Amino acid sequence: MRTIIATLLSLGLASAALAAPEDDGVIRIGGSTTLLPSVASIASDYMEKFKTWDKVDPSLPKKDIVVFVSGGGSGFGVKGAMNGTVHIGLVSRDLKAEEKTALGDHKTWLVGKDAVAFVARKDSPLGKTRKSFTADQIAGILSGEKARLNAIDPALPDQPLAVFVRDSGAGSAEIIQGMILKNRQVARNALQLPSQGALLKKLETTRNGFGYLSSGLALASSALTTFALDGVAPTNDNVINGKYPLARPLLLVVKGKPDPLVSRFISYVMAEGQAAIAAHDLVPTTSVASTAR
Amino acid sequence: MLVGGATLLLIAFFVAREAAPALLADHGIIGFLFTDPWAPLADPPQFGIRHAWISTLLVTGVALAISVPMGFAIGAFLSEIAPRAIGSIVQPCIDVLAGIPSVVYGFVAYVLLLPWLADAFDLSTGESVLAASLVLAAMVLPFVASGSAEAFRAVPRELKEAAYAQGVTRFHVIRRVIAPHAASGLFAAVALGLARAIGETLAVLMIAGNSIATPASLLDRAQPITALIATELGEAGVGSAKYHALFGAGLVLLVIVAAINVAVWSAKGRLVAAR
Amino acid sequence: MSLLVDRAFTALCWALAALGIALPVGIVAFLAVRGLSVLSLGFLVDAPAGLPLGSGGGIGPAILGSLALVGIGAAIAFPLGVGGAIYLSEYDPPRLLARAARFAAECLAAVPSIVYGLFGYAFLVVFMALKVSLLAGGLTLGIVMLPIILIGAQEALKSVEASQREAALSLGVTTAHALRRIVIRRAMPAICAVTVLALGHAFGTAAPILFTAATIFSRGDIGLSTPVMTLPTHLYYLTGEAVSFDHAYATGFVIVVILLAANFAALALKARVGRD
Repeated sequence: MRTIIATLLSLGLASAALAAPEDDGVIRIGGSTTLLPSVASIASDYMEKFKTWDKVDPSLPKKDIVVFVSGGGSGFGVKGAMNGTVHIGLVSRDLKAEEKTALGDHKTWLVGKDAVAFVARKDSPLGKTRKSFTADQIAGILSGEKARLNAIDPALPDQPLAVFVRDSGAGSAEIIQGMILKNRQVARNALQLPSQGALLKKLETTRNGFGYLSSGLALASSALTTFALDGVAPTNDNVINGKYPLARPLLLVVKGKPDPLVSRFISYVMAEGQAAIAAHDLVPTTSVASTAR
Repeated sequence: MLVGGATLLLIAFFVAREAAPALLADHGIIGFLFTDPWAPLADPPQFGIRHAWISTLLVTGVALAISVPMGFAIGAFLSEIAPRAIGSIVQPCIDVLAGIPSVVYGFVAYVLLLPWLADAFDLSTGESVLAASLVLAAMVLPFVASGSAEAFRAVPRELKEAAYAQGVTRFHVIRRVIAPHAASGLFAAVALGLARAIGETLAVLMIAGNSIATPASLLDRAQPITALIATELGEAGVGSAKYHALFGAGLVLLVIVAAINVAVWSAKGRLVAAR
Repeated sequence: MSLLVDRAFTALCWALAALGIALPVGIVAFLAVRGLSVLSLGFLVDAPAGLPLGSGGGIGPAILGSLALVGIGAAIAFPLGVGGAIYLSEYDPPRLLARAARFAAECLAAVPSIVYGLFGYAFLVVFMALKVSLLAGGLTLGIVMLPIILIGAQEALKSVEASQREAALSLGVTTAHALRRIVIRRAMPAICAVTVLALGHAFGTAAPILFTAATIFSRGDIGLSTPVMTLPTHLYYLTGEAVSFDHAYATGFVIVVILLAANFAALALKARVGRD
């Protein structure tokens, strides 16, 4: 049995020894869970396609391409870019003034656009009867003031409504807080989910649920229906032409001057990567009329 | 050994140091623990953890209420009732139960327990204190069971045989003779279960609902301290107010755990002296 | 009346014991049945693939990552833990020091896993600038395993000492040094059993490594300074993101099988002790 332990120990040490020295050839990316699936997919394709950096560009060293992608929310993306935890931060909202100051010299790339849509199951009482809400009505639901269906609309049955939200570090959460809730707070008993994917799943499987979700995911889901906000539906067109007020930029944020490897990867994301962005139901930058960042 | 002691001190010191700003801030410790809500997006942002420790208390309390009696019974079974062959099947099964990681419990509960609860209680979604308590009870059960089995076995055989020879029922012997003698061991088993329940992270994160509400009933959603830290740590920038608040929450956990250990040690010490 | 109570109690105990068997068997069987469709050699070796990522491919990098993390943790915890236990048990240290060390170890063993994550993140990842990496995660897991091994080894040494010491002395072993060697050798299987259990425990925890070592996706390149995929965090990711429940079942099953193997190994080691 000592051999088992010895084997494990040597395995551990060996794999550590096999190590690529320091951070050569490694890019760390993290942040918004809206961008997570598409960027992870792009990273995987990139590594598969090129394998080593010198194949991307002969002037780069012959090192394995290694890209690590993680979630954590837009808040984490910004903080991570700030303190060097990640090379590229994924952010699904505009940067705040204080964040720009704290970042100092930085660059952002707009990889696509998305919106925050309000959704419920198509076959739920809410989904079947309502097509649109005013901002104030939504604030009432999200803040828990209207916790039962008949409080929202007297014609609906007296049933409880489950509200699903993202936790406070998410880009979507911040947008909702600033533009819809304003002075009110999210309902204390709303369920906080750790990612857009989790949110989607919950909303799809809960009978009487309501929440906000990335419009791309919402439109692509066959189980969910979206609600128009003050008469404007969260379609891709309305996102591009700016009519839907809760549109948000999907950004890559890099502090300081990006090193050659990071620049290369970002160029790839902005070009070949756009197909993956579209495949994950987000609006690619190439479709967006005005970018100007 | 020296490293062990040093590590504990280092951890405690570091956590305390990082927590200090949260505790000394505006509303102080009282505010942090008792009055402030957790509202990081409010203006000004607030980081009280009242909802979290009440969640921890509620979830842990119910979990122990379920698992401790069951654990004692299984312990008594292993020590006094089971024939050798049966015991040698049950004990390893209990050990397996103890070895299943938190994330697997969380996953299984997520796919099995939550839908069932939602149906059974006509809820929109199954995440609740009850769900978390049930899962915690399953996780704590093996520790209480093994610990109490050990405690029961440690009672001197002469004592047991003398009691059995009196002609009373086995239950009577267990209840009146063996259990009181095993008291400190039983207490330790429960304490072990309690510490495990309080410290549980992944399972409750996936099952309790992760709401910042203070739960008032078994069917409410909750966010124990551990889930709070796991949810918010990623986004908390080092040095920010939220960061300090999360360390404050961690410090609370450390203090509780240390207190439990002190209680166990003094119980053991007291009983040894009393003999 | 009293007989009735006794019968009821006995019946209850049997029922609960049955539950004690049914629960773990049920969980493992459930995972196996649901996950079997995905399990294959490819699953164990390949990197995650598919759209979304994780719904295809396999968990190879996660298995590697978990092993590497636990390996590093053990490299730290085993020598320190066993060494510390030997010192406490065989070298007759001052009573207060011994009790304090034991108390510290028991407290550490009870510390919630997320607090280890908190500490690892703030101290190792940020303060010591190790970044989110295999090293940071491995060190954190080492701290997680240390108290378990220390206490277990101490208990193993204690239980050997009593019986063997007398025997050895009666056979003419005079030096403390030689006595120590015999005792340690006798206790080794039990110490290894405890270590294996500690390894299993560290293998399955997610909270300490969520913020110190984990990444969602990796192709299997591992280095001390890179983040790694691990089985528990991958399962958490698959569940939370609702990426693929089939893969989640299979991942859960793999985790449980590895832990069962660890449990089995520990049992076999403990049996060795009994035989001596």
